[in-house]
Amino acid sequence: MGTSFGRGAGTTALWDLANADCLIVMGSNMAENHPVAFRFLLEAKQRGATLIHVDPRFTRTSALCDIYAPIRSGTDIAFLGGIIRHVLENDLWFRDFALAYTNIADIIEEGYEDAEEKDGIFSGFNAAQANYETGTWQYKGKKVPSSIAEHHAESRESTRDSGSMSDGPPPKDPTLQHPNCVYQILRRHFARYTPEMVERITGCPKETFMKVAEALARNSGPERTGTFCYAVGWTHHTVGVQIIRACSILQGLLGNIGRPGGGIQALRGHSSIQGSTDIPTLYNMLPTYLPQPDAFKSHDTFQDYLKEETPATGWWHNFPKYMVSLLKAWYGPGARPDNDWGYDFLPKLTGDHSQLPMTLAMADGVVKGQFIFGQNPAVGAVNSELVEHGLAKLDWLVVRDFAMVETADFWQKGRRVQKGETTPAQIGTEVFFLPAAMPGEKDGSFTNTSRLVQWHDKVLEAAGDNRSDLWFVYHLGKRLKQLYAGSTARRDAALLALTWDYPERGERREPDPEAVLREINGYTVADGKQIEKYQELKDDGSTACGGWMYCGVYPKEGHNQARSRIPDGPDGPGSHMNWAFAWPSNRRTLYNRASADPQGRPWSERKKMIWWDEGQGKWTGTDVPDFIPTKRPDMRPDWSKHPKGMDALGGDDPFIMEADGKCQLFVPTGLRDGPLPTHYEPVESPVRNILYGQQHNPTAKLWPRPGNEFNEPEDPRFPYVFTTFRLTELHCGGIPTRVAPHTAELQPEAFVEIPTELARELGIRHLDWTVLSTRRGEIEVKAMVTNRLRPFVIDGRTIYQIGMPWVFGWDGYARGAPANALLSIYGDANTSIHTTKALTCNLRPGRLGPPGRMSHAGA
Amino acid sequence: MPAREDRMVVLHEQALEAMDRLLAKRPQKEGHAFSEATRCLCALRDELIRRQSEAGASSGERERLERLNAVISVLVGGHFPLGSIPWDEIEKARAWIP
Repeated sequence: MGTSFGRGAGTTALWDLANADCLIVMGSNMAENHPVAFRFLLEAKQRGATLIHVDPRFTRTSALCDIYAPIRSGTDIAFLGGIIRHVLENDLWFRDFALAYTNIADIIEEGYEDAEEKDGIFSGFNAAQANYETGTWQYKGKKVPSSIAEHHAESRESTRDSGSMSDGPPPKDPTLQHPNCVYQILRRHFARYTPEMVERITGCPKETFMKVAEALARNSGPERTGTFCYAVGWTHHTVGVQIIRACSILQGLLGNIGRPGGGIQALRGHSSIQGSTDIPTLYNMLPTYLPQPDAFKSHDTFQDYLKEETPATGWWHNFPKYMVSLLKAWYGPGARPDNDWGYDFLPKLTGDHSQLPMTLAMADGVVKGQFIFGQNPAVGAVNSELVEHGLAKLDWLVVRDFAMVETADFWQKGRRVQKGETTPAQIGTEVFFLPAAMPGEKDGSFTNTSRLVQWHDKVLEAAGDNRSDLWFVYHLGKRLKQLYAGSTARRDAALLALTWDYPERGERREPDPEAVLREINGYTVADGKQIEKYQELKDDGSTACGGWMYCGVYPKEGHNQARSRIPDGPDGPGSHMNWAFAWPSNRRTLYNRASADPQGRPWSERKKMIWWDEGQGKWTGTDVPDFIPTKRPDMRPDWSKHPKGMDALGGDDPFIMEADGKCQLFVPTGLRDGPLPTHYEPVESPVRNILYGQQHNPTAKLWPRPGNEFNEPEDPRFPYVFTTFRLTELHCGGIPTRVAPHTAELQPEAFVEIPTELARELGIRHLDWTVLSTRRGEIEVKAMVTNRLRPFVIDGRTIYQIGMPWVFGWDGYARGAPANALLSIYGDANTSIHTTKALTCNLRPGRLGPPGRMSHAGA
Repeated sequence: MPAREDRMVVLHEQALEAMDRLLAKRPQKEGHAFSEATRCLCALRDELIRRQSEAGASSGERERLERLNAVISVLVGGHFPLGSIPWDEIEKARAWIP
């Protein structure tokens, strides 16, 4: 979504789902995994909305929807591409919206060649390096910088803006006849995604597919809107980003962005996954999406870095203000003009240091020690035996949790120990297992799926030595600073310069989490006064701000907006502006300028949100405008002045984080695997790609090695599609609920879901033991024979899909084989996210013989 | 030559040879040569750390460790690149091995 719209986050408030006329849940079992949010879908249904579930498994979500469309795992782009084709070929798109607010009329460089012309490869492909040069994807005569959003730093290609976007608008053809305008490229690209082709690839009957396509199109336009909800069923593929891109194209064409009931909800899997992206635990971003400097880009000095990363046009032209303010927040007096505000203190990337490659690097001995907070990779990470191998190479490992987890006792009970491949005596890793406080035992905030920052207060004191993560990190930092105090070595300067002076409370000296929130919000350096909005941030060192998008969460001393809990009454506007804080600017719906037509009038009375008030000379409505409040709808850039920043966007350009203010149906810059989504088979697939000779994403991050081999396409040894999923009853990696008897007994042991027809074919009965295998390993698990999974007919062949929850391990009351022992390590081209949803395996009745039989498997 | 010094020399030689093999091969899609070079450099680094832990680090040895860590960082960045593999930088890193 970052490349398509400008921000990599869900576009609406969760309660806005109730305003939709059509809701498609795809890549998610929302009713079971996001039950609180799902109630808004049921509210929409009561108001007459059509609910649709597209998924390989029939789940409780399917049961509550009006239409259930089954698809084979990993074929989402074919399904969505089919809807795009249906909308374009039948002229069902919202023409006034898309012509004004998307780049549908923009003309692309003449050298552009589509995947349809090159058997699955776009122009600019470097086969030796398995990556793209994006020169031919640009607007004709322009170089378009991508929005600075999630994973912006994942490419080394220079995004430096030569200034071409300030010289004049990109060339367009409003008649849409130019062969290289985006509209014509889209039509050619998706021409083969007919209902028949959708059925051949996905296995979804074309009649069912057509019901979905028609329902969505019917419920889009000036009077009606539709929303998509997705979760990791979309992201956990080598084409995860491109699946979301396909949805973004569709929503842009149909005018379902920035409007009541129109948007895309990225359902997050943990309570604060959105928060851990905003204030990131990711390796390639500084807080609120500022790019981490890179040793191999033109980032040598702060000025180089700013020059490279600051786009000439659009809102991100303000980037230097946010960066200087961040450095002031972190380094205080140590951030000065004469030392580039402490820029050299920041570590620089040399490569992809995300979890998957670092797991491999651990196995190579690169990493000496690791901290594990709120995670359980021995169960939750793919290729879990290779994870164990890496953990065993560490000198030290610190695990903080409130119950014993598999990652902390892998050296004693892990799969490699149980299989006899190693012994505790052979593992040299020194493991420190430290007790952590539970959520109710600490103050803090969660940022949920809809960017809503909600404060929670401590209910009771943590028992014994249990401490919050904040306590641990803060006091660890203090001790390290003491340890290095007085050092004059350059390598220690960053640690010593770090401001680390949060007030401590009580006997336990718990740091004040609201002080951290105040710092994230930002303040003026001279007097420490809280800043109310990010428009006040400066690049002269007079302001400090730990995360510019969170400005306003603590706008005044004593006013923690995240703690606010005042809902609108029944007669209120329904935007609940006094319920917590949504970034940015407490805005509930992103890009909401698009809820009005180019002249600033609501598209319809039924779907009004923001509009231009001529009398007041400003934008007004039921939400905070995602726009310059006083910028007239008829304002146009004065190109003779080579305008910069927001001066280069017109009053009818709603996507202000993009360099041209438009929704990017076609993405010129920012994606590693093509400007348009196209169907590739998963890396492991039982079938060949029907559309192209190119079988899988040619830019996927593949790291084969002994112990991390891949199943070849159509390998007869691994004929079944395999997917993993979560359970309502066991939370995430499982430990918080597997150690609690009352939840453990609800899902007492691991199982694999097998279609009835396949079970019959293999002679497997319900609750029989089975063995699942891939080239990474084998596990044994009991059979759940079910009609929830149905055989697919793929291009005339019957293909079976089986599925297994990944939440089990050897600790707690509810035990079972970790499904992730079967998976391998390879990543999405743009995000390095692993594949857990579509791979291949074998299945047979019976059990593993010792030593393969795990003690956790039970009798 | 004392046995410990002897071991350092052997590990140093192995690391240089592994880097030379990597640079001669310049693999694009398979990581074995990278893994091999990484393992050799890490073995050298670990031996250096062990020696410094036992005997204390002189400023020269400390600098040697810093340079070695920098080389490993570049190598890991080549093994898991953002975009194209930075062969020029890896070539420079080879010359930096202390």
